[in-house]
Amino acid sequence: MAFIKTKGFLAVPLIIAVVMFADYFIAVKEVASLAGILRTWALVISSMALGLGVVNLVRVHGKNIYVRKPGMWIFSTVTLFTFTVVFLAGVLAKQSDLWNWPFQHVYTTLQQTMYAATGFYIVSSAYRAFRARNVDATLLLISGCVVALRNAPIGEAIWGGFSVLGDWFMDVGQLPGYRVFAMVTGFGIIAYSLRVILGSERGFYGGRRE
Amino acid sequence: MPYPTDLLGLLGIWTGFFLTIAIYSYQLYKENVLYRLAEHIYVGIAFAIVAVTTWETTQKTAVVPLLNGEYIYLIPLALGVMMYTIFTSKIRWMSRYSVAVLVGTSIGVRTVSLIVPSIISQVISTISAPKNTALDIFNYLFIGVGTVCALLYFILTHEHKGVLKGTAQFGRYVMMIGLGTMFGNTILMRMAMLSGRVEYLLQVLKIIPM
Amino acid sequence: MSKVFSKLEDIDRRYYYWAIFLILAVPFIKPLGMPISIKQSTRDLYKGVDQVEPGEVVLIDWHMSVSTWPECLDGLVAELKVLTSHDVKIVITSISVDCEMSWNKVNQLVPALRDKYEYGKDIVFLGYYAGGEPTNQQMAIDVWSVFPTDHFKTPIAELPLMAEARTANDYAIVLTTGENEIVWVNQWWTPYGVPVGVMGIAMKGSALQPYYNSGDIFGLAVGVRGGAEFELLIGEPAGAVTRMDSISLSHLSVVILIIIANTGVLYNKLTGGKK
Repeated sequence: MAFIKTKGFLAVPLIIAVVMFADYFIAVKEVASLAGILRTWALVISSMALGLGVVNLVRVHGKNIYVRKPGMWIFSTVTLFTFTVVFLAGVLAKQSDLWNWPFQHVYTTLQQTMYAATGFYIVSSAYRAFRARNVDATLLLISGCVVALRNAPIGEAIWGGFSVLGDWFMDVGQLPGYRVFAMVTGFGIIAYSLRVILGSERGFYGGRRE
Repeated sequence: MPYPTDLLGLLGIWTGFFLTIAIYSYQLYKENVLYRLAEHIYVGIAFAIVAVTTWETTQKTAVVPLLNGEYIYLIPLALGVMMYTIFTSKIRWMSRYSVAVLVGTSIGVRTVSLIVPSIISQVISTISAPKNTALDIFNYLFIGVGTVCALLYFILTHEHKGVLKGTAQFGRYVMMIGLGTMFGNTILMRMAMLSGRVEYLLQVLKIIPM
Repeated sequence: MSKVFSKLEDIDRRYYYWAIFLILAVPFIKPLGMPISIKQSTRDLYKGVDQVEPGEVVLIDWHMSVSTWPECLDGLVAELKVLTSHDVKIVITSISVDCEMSWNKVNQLVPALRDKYEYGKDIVFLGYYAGGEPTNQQMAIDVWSVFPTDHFKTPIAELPLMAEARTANDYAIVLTTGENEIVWVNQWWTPYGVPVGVMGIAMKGSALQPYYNSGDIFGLAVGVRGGAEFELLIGEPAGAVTRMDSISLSHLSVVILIIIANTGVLYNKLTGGKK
């Protein structure tokens, strides 16, 4: 039982990965069938795993309300109340306005607004953080500014060279860097996968060693 | 979409308007109660949508086939439920099997399928770029030399001195150009999102047509 | 002079935020109408979409949530207008939990989807899928095994279109919107030769360029700029083109801020002042 609790799971990625590799390289019907089953299992588990965040949300905010955490518990009540109402509407009355209205007007607005807020930070970091203190930073800023002016029609209107230079940076200038990122990421994934298969990588299993 | 005339529609767009102002009051003024309220409403609704999606996707991918007689789906359903044991300390070990299945499947699929597009294709297109004009030849040399030098930068098992120092440094400069172009594109992304919100506010106020 | 730069540095950031807010707003009220040139990669995307024959099936993957509508939605709508004008059959799926909102929005903005297309025969919305790349691989082998029902809970066998769109080989092209397009290159293009076109977010433009250059992606249009270029190619300037003036002024402002900030750094360096 101790083996199942502490080490048994390390064999699972090895077995599954071998089946997947075999499916890729060998055309055997039974192997393909098994690989397909494993992929649909992964799909089901991933679908159910979405709920982990929800459970955590309820735990964290529920605790804030239970202990009446100062400055937080009222907002936690708002969160859980909103969650409960919209969740029940989604499960029990999906065609009704009780689901459609918050989804369309509240969620859509807030989702776009939250993500768009980073636009402000680009502006403040442009002035405060992006300083050309050395060759690396200077190259980064020059290419960034040229591409930014290439992306904006006003750049071309000011000087046609921004479009030409910007296209060069996009089509040629950045290519070595991003090609290498793609290759190195590929090699890294292969190396990391080998570590996982051999049981050396355990970080994502979570929890303290038992 | 035309400007709504029905009560729910009008309530919706004006709710969206005030929620947007509430969120941006943090950046444009200072942190305040309205901002925190809007933030917590967003969290509640977002997680409600995730919970509803979890419910529906699990039904669609596992419960429906199970009810149609495919009893093998009991296994991934059980593994999905085991994921939730991560919240308890006594039986947390069960969640590791679910994670192991996900990890094994991802590794098995990704490791082999990335070899051609991320590595082989990139090498082939580096050495087979067009060489018709003087600019083509310059670009070909820049990309080829830049890619090799950037790859040399990632040799971490030898100290970067002598020939390796110069080439790795050039590789770093080439990568900085790449990161700079990404920065230029990031400005486009963030400003596009923020302009979308500004457009929405102007539309609700009827300054521009919806 | 260094005092000037110092004072500029100490300006409350909220002034910048208000400035950018107003700079973004003005072009909507008073459009500048600047011309927009069109990149070759956008032309290639348009060509690839335009060449799909009537009756062929296209898979569209929405790798975007509602937060990226300002970036990607207009380009997606333009693509759909081209496809619907050719009577191309469309299957839509998404990795975003709020894909239903995108479906409703797209139906509002592309009249042909409501008026000309019959759901189930000409277009199917499969909805959200989880699982990442293994799911993409499984879809290539059998879409039905990933989607026993569509988003509206109709059994997949009851949708006539899905009978002829079951495996990767049944699809003419894959169009993806948003991010993480590489999974389609890895799982549909490389093994099955299904061409992949991308209308992506701007931030992914750099990362996708190598795949476009190597021919693994047949066309690439990124961000609102890509959407605007696509709208101009189809001759129907709409939301993305309208937004470009706002983009122009905001970009110029950011670049000017960077130049001013670095002028101070350069001045301090040359005069040996504070760093």
